[in-house]
Amino acid sequence: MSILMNTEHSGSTAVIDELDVSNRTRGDYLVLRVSLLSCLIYVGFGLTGFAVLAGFWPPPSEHLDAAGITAYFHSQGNGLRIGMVMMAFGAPFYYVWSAVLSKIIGRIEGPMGVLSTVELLGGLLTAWVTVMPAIIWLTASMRPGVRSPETVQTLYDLGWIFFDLTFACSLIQNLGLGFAILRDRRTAPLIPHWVAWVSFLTAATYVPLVLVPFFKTGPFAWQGLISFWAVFVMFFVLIAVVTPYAWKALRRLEAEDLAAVG
Amino acid sequence: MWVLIAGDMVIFSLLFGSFMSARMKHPEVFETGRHALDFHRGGINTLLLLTSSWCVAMTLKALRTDRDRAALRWLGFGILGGVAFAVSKVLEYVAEVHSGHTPASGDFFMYYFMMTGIHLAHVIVGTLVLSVFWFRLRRPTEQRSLAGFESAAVFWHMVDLLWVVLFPLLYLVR
Amino acid sequence: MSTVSVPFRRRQQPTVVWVLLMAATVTTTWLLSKDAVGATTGTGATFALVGWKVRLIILDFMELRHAPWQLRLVFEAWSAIVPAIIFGFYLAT
Repeated sequence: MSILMNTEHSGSTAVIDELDVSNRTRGDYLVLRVSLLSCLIYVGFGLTGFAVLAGFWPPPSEHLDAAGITAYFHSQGNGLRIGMVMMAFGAPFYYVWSAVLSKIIGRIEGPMGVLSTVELLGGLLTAWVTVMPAIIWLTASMRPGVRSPETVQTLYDLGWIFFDLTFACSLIQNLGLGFAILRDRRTAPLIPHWVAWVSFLTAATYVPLVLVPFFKTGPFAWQGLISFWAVFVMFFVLIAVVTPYAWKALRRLEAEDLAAVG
Repeated sequence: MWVLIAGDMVIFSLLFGSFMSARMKHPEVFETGRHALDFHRGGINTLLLLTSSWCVAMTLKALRTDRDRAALRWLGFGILGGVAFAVSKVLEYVAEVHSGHTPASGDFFMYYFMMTGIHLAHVIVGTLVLSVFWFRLRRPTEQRSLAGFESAAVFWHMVDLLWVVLFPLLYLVR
Repeated sequence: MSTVSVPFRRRQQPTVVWVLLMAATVTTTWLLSKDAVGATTGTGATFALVGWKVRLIILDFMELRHAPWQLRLVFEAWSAIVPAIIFGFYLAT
């Protein structure tokens, strides 16, 4: 409404609009930066809950029997429950972070570019894949002494299968990010091309997760060297590598946009 | 590209390490497992991949001196080497499964099938990538850059290099 | 003289490397695996040769011989450390 009224007054209105636009741009980029930093909530709450409080770093082994895993859940007690609540709370912030990357990719692609959408949806699904295991393990930890050990074991298994066998959600997101970075034809790319290869490497480390249902010990079990250590370390390495470059990219894009406004 | 190559090599070295640490627990199981493998075939496969790698190196030399027909020929032999390796590996799997050895028959065969399987996946990807470049090379274009082919070649040499370690690890450690 | 021989040698390099690699493979597969060679000696010599082969592939096929030293260091370190670790495990078994 106010814009309509402004346009009716000729003369000084152009100046006011320009100021509005540049203020709005600054506001957009402020929100983008804050949203980018939301990965700190994801990583902070996720790792504190999952690794520290629940003690899942590395997690109890796939070959434990029902009594063994139930004893573990009992011994962790409320620590594990608080950890899982934290993980479930922090997880959705991953899609906020992904939304920022999606916007940056949108500036690399043309209007019909689909990789920004792939990045966004991959972020949403990865967030979901982090929420659900926390919910399932939280359920397993409730009613100690009443829940039968078999139920605890089933839920513990379900949590891991949900976590690991949904890897394609994140793999597709990583491929999308990698291809988008490589498609950037600026003389100084928004995000350096080598970051794309880190993204491809992360995607590649997820593939052996298909073996998780078949091995209870060794590197391909969910606590193993490949399925746990390589996968989880690369997941966080990618976030740590991409975030500072996304921050720099936002600074450049903001400068470009403000220069265009005048 | 080097990031991916280095990362892949680190992942494989983790596998090599876990293989050796599993071997520490039951050396006798690994020794009997090893005897069930045909090291002649493994050795010939190694020679195949090394030769293929050399053909790809020669392709790059030819491309740099604008000898496109020679490059096409070298690359063709390189691809054949990859295909021959893959076929030989699959026949080897078939023979092993027939004689009752599967990924479920103990630690040695779990590692054997998983490590060679992951490596075979690399061979297949590499062969496909090289084939794409072969088809591109058949239709000569004015503007071209060697950077893409150089990356593919480095990937192929890595596939070769990993097998150079994998083969003695599985077949020759006694 | 040198201006002619250097490019000539360079062009031959992959072939020379290939011959060396083939010879090393034949040695490890069909000579060092014989029972006449002691198990420890055979395995040790095999992995020493493996390290050397990997280094040749890295330097001459991957063409890292004239790459920046940081990149070269990472890959050359792999060629030395990985066979050494494998042999270390072997000795500890």
